[in-house]
Amino acid sequence: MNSVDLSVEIAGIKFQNPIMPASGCFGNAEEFFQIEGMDLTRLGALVSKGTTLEARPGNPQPRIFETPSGMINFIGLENPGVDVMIAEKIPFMAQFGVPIIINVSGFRIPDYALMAKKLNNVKGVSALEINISCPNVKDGGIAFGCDPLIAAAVVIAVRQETSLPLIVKLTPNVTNIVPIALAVQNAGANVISMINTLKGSFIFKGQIIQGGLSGPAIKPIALNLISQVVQAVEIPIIGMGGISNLQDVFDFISVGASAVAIGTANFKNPLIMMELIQELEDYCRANGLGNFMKLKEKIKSKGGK
Amino acid sequence: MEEAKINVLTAEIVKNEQITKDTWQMTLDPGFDFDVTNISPGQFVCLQPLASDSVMARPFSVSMISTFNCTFDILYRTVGKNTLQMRQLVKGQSIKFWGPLGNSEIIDPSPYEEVWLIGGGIGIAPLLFFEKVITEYQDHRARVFYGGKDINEMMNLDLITPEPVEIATEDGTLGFKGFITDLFSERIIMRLGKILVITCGPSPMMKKVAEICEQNNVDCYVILEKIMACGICVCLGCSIKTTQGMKRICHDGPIFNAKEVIWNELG
Repeated sequence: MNSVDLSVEIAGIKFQNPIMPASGCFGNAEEFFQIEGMDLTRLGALVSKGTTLEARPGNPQPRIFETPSGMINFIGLENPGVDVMIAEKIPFMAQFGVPIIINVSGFRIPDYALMAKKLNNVKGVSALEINISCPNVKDGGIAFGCDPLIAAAVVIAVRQETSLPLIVKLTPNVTNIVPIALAVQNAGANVISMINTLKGSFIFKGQIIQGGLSGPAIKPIALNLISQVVQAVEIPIIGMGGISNLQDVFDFISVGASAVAIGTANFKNPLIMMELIQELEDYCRANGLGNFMKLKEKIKSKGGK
Repeated sequence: MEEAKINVLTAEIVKNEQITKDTWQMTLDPGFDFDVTNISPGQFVCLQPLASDSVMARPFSVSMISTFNCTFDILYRTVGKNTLQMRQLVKGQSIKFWGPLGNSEIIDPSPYEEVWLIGGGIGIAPLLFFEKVITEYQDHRARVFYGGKDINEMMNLDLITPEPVEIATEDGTLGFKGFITDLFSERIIMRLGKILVITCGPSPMMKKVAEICEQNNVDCYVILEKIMACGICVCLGCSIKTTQGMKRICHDGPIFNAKEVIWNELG
């Protein structure tokens, strides 16, 4: 068999394959454009770094800390702000002919709404990914994504400003994720992406620094939470959390993810996404699987490799 | 963003030798797809971590290139599980790396009589490459200052400049007894003509060098280091606040004009 069609359609967007970068581990594509051997036109999608209404300098040092099979980041959403994204970064991302997902983060509900309004008619933008793991300034700093009503309120506010498909990125830092997933679905989310980083702390010169834990260490947690949410919602899920090899991709598809995002693994190997796409194609070819549906069936019955 | 491409390649280990109590020198052959002359002094490469439970890239300054053998060298101190595993690598084995990384702009020494290179500990690594480029390719005068804790930490420097190396150890077991910054502050007063200082080493040392330069109205560049996860300007782990705004050590640096650096922002 020569041709393998790995394309998946999610919320009306056609992805040529189910592999895309996770927000924050991919810059805004221009950094990876510099890597020899990185063909951005082959990715399932391009996903921007977390963008906020105003530019942010981010947190002071130290910002990252390695843990066994993981790392904690305390970057603090350093980014140039939505206006620079629209003027400079999105036009660059738009030249590769693959869907562009813009990750938006806010600290007040109107932040999200205003960003959605600004991004609504921007050429090249295929969907918004709403990061609801940010602290809600108005509510004492508790993350929007920790309360079903507040999470839904964010989605409703964004929905009113844009017709773009909405991907809501859930935080795993909750007692029960299912009511949050249902709330965002009912509020108009088209897709759920999960999981964001887990809260974690490291000690630096006697000071406790809280950040987000990512990497293979969180994969079992991601699989567990996705399998809970899959059973409760009807909208598709983009899975992420420690994916670093083809078996990990299969495991996420196995629990019901429609596509996957690669995050921390990009740091250890800048070409990991290229390698995974190639390995996925080779696997399908070797096993006579002509399309993603067939691959999914095989994975679900046999667990992949 | 400059056009220079970053290569992700597998390099063959040509040499991996212990040179002091805890410092090793590794010579890497990156193969024909990689032109070592594209590496500028001060630039670095990231090595893929060897420990299976490590998730972040390991950055190392390039300490020398060989245009004849088409190889480059790194120096590393064994500080953790990855550098311990690096020690086990032998000739013929390979390791994934990417680079060259960091600002490729070359410092022009021509406005200066001499370039003084002030290295502390393993911070001497990028300065060895600077010394070769300045003396051999730029045909300029370089003078090296090299400090460490004790004689066991000090490596033999294979330099091109005929100038003797100024050495200091904290316990006095080799050279001047005290900090290299003490020796530097004595020598800077006796300088003849305009000099440029480039320094690399522990943060407090570089800060002191920068202060001495400022007091003496001498231009100074510092080569900074921070933990980074990727080396390619994506993780933003090495982003620092400078007088010129936020800068990424992996991309805008690692060489900075000392005047840009806000020392208490380095963590």
